[in-house]
Amino acid sequence: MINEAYIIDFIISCLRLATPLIYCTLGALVSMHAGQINMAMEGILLTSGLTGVLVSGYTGSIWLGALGAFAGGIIISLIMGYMNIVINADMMLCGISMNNFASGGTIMLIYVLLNNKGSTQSLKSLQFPNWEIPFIKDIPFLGKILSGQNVLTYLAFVMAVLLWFFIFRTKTGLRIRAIGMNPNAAASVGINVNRIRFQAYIYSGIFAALGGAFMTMGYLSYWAQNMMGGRGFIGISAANLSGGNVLIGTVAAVFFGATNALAIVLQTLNLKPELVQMLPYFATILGLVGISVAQKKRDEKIIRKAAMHVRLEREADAAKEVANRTAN
Amino acid sequence: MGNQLKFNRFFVKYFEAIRTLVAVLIGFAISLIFIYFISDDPLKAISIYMFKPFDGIRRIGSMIEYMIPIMFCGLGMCMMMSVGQFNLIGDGVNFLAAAAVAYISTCLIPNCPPILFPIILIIAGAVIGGGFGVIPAYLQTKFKTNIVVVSLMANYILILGGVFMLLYWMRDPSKTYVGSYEIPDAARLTNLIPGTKVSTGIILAFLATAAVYWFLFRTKPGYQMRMIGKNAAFAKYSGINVVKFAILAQMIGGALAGMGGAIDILGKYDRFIWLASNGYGFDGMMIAVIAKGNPAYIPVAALFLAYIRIGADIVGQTTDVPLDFVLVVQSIIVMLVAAVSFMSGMRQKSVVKLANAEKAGAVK
Repeated sequence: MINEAYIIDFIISCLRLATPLIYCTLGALVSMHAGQINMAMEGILLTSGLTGVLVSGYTGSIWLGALGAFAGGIIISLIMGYMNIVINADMMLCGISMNNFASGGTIMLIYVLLNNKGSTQSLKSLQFPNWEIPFIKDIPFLGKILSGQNVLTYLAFVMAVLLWFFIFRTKTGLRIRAIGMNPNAAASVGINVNRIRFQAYIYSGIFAALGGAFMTMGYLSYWAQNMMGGRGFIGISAANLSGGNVLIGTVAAVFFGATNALAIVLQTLNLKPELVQMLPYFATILGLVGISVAQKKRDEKIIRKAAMHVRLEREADAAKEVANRTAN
Repeated sequence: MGNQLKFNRFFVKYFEAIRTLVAVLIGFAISLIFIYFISDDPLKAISIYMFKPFDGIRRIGSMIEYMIPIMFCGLGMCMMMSVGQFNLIGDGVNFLAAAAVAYISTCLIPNCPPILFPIILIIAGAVIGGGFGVIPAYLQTKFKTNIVVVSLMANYILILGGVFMLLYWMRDPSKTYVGSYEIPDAARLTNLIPGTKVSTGIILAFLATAAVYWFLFRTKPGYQMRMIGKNAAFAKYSGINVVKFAILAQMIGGALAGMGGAIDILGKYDRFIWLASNGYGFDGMMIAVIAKGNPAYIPVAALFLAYIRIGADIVGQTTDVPLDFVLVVQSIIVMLVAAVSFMSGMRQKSVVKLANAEKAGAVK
């Protein structure tokens, strides 16, 4: 039963399912570096997915659709930012409310525009194409995996690299990290903390909007109510357990995508779908716990090393003193 | 002058309550604006939204029915918030407890004496709620995981678990729709108002409100929990076992949400038919936020939410407006209530005026 085609299919579905998670992880990472938790990821996915579909459907242009998705993501992000930064609302509460806001608001919007409460299937919208890479697609095993994916899947990995460069190698990235580590210190050297925070929210919205666009204009060809199934939160978890490292975050997102793909495979093996669908959520919780155990061990190691260092120093000092005394 | 000072004093004293009221009113106004712009016949839709919930005993009954589970979830959320945690497990345990209670009553022990039966089932709901409510709390204290993310992930798992129980353990194959076997009469709560589905559950909800208020504000463990919520470090250095009481509070919170699910299913339904969460958990969070975590205000907040929810429900059924606008309104209210700086400028001005007046009085 397990042959080459089967494995290839599985890897491809891993990549497809990981794509929105990678975008969410990147978006969550930006806001994390700025010291904020953008809990509204789920809402951004829903909103940007819908605005993307609507704009591409009405204008007939995939590029305008992408812009529409960005606009949807940025709007939700900016509301989040405004609530957190300007009127000091609780971050968690705001995020949870924003997600509900998006889930109700999107349904209202398609009702007003399309007279339909469940999905946008009646609207003919466009999809991002798959990309067949000329020479690579002829490589025997890898060709089928590396070529023929959706352009947004490729872009996800490109974006991960760009994000790393942006956060760790540019001036704005440095400022974002500075306000995340110590906003007061950053303000004291003349950084406009709130402006950078808003910027971070906007970038985070753009990243997540790409995920939303992929869901409705790549993975599927339409938007349906509550279609995201916690993907935003899984992205936030991946960012949480990466500890700010873009590479680890991306790997974690791919791993969660793989559990999603595994769930789909297990469903075809006659396991009960309700049980199998729990798998990604279990994986998320276990991932968070696992990384915390690992971090604790690492911290303990550092402390032990430091303690040993202190002890060695003390012993050296004592030895020196004894030597001094005997010399005198 | 005198009147204005009086107003200022009143405004500063009751600032939190006034602020919450203004937020709620703004939310309500926004819901009217939504209906106005969506509906083709806005005035009719608005009058349906505002007045139909009070039209007839059945409608009023449905408001009271709606209050029962959300009051329990709100009380549960009050317990979570008392120790300063946003444990959102309420939604999942509400669902799972309802499913489990239906399963126990239909399949495990269908024969049980009448009065004892609902008591056993409600306790079972509470045990399930408490048991699962502990998990995010434990992971948070032990492993420092983000409690919002963990509890939301756990909600998906619990809801899938409940649906699994319905589909494979207790589904009645003789019915065309998806539903459990019929819950035996002996298990159901007594109906209070004929013509509606209002059960003794509403009495239990008020009793629970009183009990939670008494516990949080009149007992030592309750005080310790509120201390943890206000300032965990201070509580720790005062010798309070922070981990133990934080987990205990969230266990009680989960138990309340579980009881809510059990009472809802035993009071209102003859079969378990839910295939997706009905959002009682978020409703509970909303009313707990409006009530500022004080159980005494939970019934009022629950009544308000039941009113706009049932209003939206009727609007959704009888007019061309989708009822989901209510989610948007709820979110806006929560955010306005949570917004610390909302109206704080007005308060500042009042305080300054009062202070100036007092200074002038002192000089004179």
